[in-house]
Amino acid sequence: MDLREELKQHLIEQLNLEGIKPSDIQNDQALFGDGLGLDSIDALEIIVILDNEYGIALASPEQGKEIFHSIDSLAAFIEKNR
Amino acid sequence: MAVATLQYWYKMDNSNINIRSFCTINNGLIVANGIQKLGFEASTTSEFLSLVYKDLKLDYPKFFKMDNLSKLAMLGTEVLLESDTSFDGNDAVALCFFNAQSSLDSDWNHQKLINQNKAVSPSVFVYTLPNILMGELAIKHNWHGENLFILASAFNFDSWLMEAKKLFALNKAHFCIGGWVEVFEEHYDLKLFFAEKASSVNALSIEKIKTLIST
Repeated sequence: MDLREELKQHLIEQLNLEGIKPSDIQNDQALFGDGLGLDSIDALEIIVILDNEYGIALASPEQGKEIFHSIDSLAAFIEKNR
Repeated sequence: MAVATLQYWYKMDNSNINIRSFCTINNGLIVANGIQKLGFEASTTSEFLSLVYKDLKLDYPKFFKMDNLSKLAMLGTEVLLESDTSFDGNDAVALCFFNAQSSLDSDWNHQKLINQNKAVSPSVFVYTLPNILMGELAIKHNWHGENLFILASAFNFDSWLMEAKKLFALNKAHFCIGGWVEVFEEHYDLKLFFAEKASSVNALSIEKIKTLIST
């Protein structure tokens, strides 16, 4: 499965995004704020997804805002670090 | 002596409290003010709570992120407020709940994740306190009153009434919602009451409620 589609599936399952399908999430759509509307607990949950599913630990929390911006930015980070 | 007298008054005198509405949820049934409102057959607590959410046509995506204890209290509160069309949306609502097992359902899920030697889920960990459910209710309804979560071996309606009457006597609240909320795995039980400082002429009979919730 394409990494971006896989990430969308993980987000929907792990963040309990009821009623949202992978096709509802655009690759460049903002995940937080006015985009998908995720919150701070969701950000922590994404860190857990990175660790459990891809074996990647976020070295610097300050990077989070940039890395977690969208599916595209998350996928780029994973491809670079796994 | 003064304290004992006050406790006795709180226990015996119901003149400062009215029950506006109440509901129970257990064994797949939702009963509001003594009348069955909904009934579902579901194999798990989570499935049952999702069916109730959909039937009530709630539009609150955060519901799906909550633990089952918070979901149960949230749904019961929606049923209470639906059954009480004269409530004016006052934000001075106090919350007072009792249960026996605290947040054991979430604690247990948290422990299971730890046992898998994986990074634990923040969304599970955040619910490993029972009083989180009161925060969820306060956020959704914009309520600003006092809140209290008491652990007790079993529900005692008189004890809940006493706590509500104290809040009213001390002018800490004009309304109080709460009661008994318990979830562990596939067992769930809710007895929820909406009380107000006495003024309504349409109050439900406390003695009649005691009979209904004991059946």
